[in-house]
Amino acid sequence: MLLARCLVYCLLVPGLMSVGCAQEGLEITVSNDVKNSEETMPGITQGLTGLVETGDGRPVTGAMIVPVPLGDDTPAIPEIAILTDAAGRYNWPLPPGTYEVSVSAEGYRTAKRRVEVGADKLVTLNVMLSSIHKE
Amino acid sequence: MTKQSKFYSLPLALIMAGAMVPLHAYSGQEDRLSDDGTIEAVAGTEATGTQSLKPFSGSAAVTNEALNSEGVSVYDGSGGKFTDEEFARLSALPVPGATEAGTEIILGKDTRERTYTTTYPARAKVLITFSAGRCSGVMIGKNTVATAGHCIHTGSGGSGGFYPKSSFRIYAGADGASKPFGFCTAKSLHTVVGWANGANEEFDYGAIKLNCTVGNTVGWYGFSTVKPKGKPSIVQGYPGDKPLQQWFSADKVAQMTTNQIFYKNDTTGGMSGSPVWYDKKGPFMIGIHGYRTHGSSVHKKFNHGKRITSATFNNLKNWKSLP
Repeated sequence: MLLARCLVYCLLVPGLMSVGCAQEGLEITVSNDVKNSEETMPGITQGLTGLVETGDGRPVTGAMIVPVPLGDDTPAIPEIAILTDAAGRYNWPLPPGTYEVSVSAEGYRTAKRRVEVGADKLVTLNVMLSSIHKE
Repeated sequence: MTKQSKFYSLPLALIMAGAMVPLHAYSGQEDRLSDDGTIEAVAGTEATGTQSLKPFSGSAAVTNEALNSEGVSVYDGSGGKFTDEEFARLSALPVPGATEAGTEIILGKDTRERTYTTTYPARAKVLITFSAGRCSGVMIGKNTVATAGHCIHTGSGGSGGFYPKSSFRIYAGADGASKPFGFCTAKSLHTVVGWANGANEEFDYGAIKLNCTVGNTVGWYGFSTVKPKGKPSIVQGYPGDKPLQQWFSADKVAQMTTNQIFYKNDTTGGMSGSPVWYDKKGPFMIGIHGYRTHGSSVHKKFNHGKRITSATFNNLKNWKSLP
């Protein structure tokens, strides 16, 4: 089953695209690289997946990921609260569209980033959060 | 009418199931799909008139011993509280004043109010946590929770799209750091084909069968196919921008379509699966919340959810009857 799913991913996502950015309180990479597909939950082949970490590489647990669709003809987004797990990972099954994604967690500055999800694409959105407490 | 099928034979099963139900039976969209791969045709969609099942207010006296006898996990050493780690992981509190997360679909003034959960019917609402995050739901039987389909299934992949059953924890009447009625695990997950194979928001609902009978203690909601437009509406659950507290917003149902109801009750992420209900000598669910405003026309103007149609009613009734 896992092998079959990986084959599907490879067929659906043959290319590789990466975008990196850094701004205050936020460092995000966006790609459709599926190298981590074995770590995604069953059934998710389209939407967002990724990792939320602190500046020193520690996973942020319980960060809430909120995609807000942009544009006029926006798709229906379920009002589920998607949170990062103990390893800082999350998966958000989303319909194709352009989103402003907010990542918030207790004690950290909220990060926002614009992301485009294509049909049958699993986009990786990794986020680095900065603490609200200055060292 | 029942068909046994695994995911790889889903198309054939759908064709066969569709051939054995009335032509007007929603073209199989509301056929039931369980996490074991079973597909069953929805029945009785030709019913006319209002169908209702009554609520139950639960036990007058609640003790840990009674909850334990219902299979509820209460003796976990927590003293009825979430551990600090659980609370931090599940509550995901945004930084005050530093985020708009979860506030996008407050329509005008935020009308939400907090509910305390020691009494019925508040205690019959549930917080649902699972591998992807958290949702809301409502008890509709001694061991049955009604919720949104997207709270148990990703909306694609048929029986392969269910979230891991073992990751689910269902907390009846959770109240901030307190879990006064313990928690239960999931025995089985159920949704309908229209959600599981097409992420169709018109068929976004499902149910969780529990490994406990906490409903005998906390009670459960009734549900009804009563025409919803103009009815008072209360949307009540566990918003993601509040620390595991139960909140509600009251208004009335503004619009309806064949399969959905539309309202201005304020909601946020985490409220998915909340009952949309009104009081008629007891709480009756008339919808299941799922979506913020989006797109165009009525979808752009109102928050919305699944309407309890005749097919929806029959599916909820069927799931409630399962052991």
